[in-house]
Amino acid sequence: MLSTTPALRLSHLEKRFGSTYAVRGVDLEIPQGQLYALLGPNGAGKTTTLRMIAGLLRPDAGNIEILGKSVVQDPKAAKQVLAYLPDDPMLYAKLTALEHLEFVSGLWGMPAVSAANDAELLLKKLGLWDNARQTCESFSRGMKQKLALAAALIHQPRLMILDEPLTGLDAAAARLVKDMLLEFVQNGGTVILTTHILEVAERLAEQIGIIAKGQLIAAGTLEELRAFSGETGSLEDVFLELTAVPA
Amino acid sequence: MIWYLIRHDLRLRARELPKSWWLVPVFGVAIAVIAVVVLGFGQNRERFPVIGANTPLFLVITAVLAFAFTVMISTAIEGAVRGLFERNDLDLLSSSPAPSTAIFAARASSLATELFLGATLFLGLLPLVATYFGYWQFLGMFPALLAMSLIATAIGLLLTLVLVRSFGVRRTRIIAQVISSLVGAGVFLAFQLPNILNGGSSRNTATSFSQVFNQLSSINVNNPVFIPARATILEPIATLVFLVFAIGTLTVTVVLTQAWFVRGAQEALVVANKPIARGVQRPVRFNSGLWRVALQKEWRLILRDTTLLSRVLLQILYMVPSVFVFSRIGSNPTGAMGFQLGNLLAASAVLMVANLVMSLVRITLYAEDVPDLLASAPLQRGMMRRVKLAAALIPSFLFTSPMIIVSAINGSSGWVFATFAWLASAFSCAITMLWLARPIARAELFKPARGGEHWLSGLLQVLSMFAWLAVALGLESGAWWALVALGVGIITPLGVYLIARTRDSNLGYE
Repeated sequence: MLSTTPALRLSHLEKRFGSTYAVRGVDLEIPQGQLYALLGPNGAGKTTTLRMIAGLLRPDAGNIEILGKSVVQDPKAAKQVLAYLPDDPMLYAKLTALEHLEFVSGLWGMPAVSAANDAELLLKKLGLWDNARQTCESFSRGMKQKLALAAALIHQPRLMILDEPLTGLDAAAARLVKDMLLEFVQNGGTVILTTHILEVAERLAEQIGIIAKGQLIAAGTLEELRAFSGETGSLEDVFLELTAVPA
Repeated sequence: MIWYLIRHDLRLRARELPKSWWLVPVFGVAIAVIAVVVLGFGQNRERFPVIGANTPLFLVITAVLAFAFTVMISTAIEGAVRGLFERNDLDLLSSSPAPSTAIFAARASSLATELFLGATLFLGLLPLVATYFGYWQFLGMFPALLAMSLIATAIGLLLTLVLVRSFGVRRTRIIAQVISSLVGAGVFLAFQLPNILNGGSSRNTATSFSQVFNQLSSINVNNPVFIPARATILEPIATLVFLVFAIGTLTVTVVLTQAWFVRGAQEALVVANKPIARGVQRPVRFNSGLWRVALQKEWRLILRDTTLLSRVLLQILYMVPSVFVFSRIGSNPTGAMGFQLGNLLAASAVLMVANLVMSLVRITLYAEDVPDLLASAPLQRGMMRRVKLAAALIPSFLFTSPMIIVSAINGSSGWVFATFAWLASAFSCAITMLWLARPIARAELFKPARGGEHWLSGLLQVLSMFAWLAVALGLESGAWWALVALGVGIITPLGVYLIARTRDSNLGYE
């Protein structure tokens, strides 16, 4: 039984770089146990929003709550249940896969024994067990992405923020990652992801938010977005209609 | 095509140079020196002294050229590794319609140009000064250096290929850096030999040098070994022979080995991407606790990066002569020869711990590979900075503590002050670096243009280090300068802390 506390609540979120608004007045509430896709054209403010949620950027205004904990006022508690996976995997080239997972579990204060067991399970599931004692510098882009996913999952987060998680993965690995994300959501976790592959969002996400010029211009199920845009086609058609620059 | 590629390569090499404000005055000084030389030559031209061919003069010139040539070869290996493997543009160029001979010749030519300009920067003043006094023949040093640059390029390229094929790109890069550092350290130590040796040994050293010189003076003046020296005084035939030989050597190297080089480069890149040992099915055991895993991670990263490690250890090597000089001053402020073991160890410990801290803090604190991972972790503010400082301080203390222990066992009366200065020196450097920290890419750590490190930081680190050195050497005797140094040593990190703590550390993680 999931709590009614939203997994994520953004209130009037704002971020400026100089005089330019990267994110402007974003309000968003995502319940627990959902896979939410945040879409938008390049430079729309998706990554800035995700980085603020992950505590990497401080908002100029507004508030971010992760499972009821404010990222601004109580960052330690908020980050404890959060995993952030950027588009460029955060790995140490000179550490082995296992050493990297050991370090990450130490950062999140996980008990050593259970973390070691989880590491083994995750690496086997992701097909990296044979490479567990190799340094990350020898990994392909896809292997790095999978290891970063393992590192995100090892501290058992309740909210995962993923920026383009399928970049660099082959078809089999992409399917594996999608299945793992769905399994995570079925177990009560919440996923927020950005992607430029709209078919992925269409197939996986229960809710979709579209951000453009720093503002959340539409949010809801695919049907709700269709109704809002007046476009009856695919998510790609809806997206292009909503983000079209007026002639 | 080849000129286009040379220009492209030279532009890339120029961009690798530090963009520093001091280049403008250096350029200005160079112009001024040339102007003075031209004017001086005008005044002295009546004299036109003749330089006769004589073995002692040729020996001196040959020694200078040999030293320059050694440095050139080590620089050539580093430059060849950089030009052929680090820029990762060989695939692009090889897939273009440009012939591989032209690509390789362009790389070789730009490398030779870099060597020649570098050598001119360091040795170019000598012929200019000689010209000012009327010895215009020494302008021959420029064609001689050009010829040496071409030969060094050929040797450097060949050595690089052999090393890359034997050891791979990564190890070759390390070997090149180590060779380069050892050459520099060797020359530096050789110059400091009289300071290192005790008492009147500088006179003994001079005598030994004189004996060797006298033996070598028996070499016939027409010996071909003196061709470079003859070219340096602009003997026409020697200059021509030397230049033709150099151009021929590089041309033959390029023509005969270009295919070998391109194939070697491609193979090396493939080898570099080959996976290393497969995972071993041992039970997985993790350590617990942030401090333990974070310290372990920092030390693993240092130990596995042989390039960084070799640079750190070579910095210690450079400290050796200074240690002897300062320990002697510490034993006798009047500067008389002789030192006590206690002072020697105190100076060693203070200088080395500060240098180690400076290098290791730069690696652990500044060169964090994935700051976003740390920033997204649920850690107390400042926790990771403390762990990283500890990761730098602990090995620094462990490495240098034997000197302090031996100093105490040896019964040196000043060991208490030395211990105090040893601890203070390390912490002062660490605090100064922490509060003036700026992130640096790991690959840029030991490059001249170090990723925007605060200009004040390096200055204050050195000030702090020498202040605590003075404390270690002079506080026991109550020397006034030791008290001044104590004040400087305390005020420097305190001032930096008070000024800089009000803003973020700039590191991207807390």
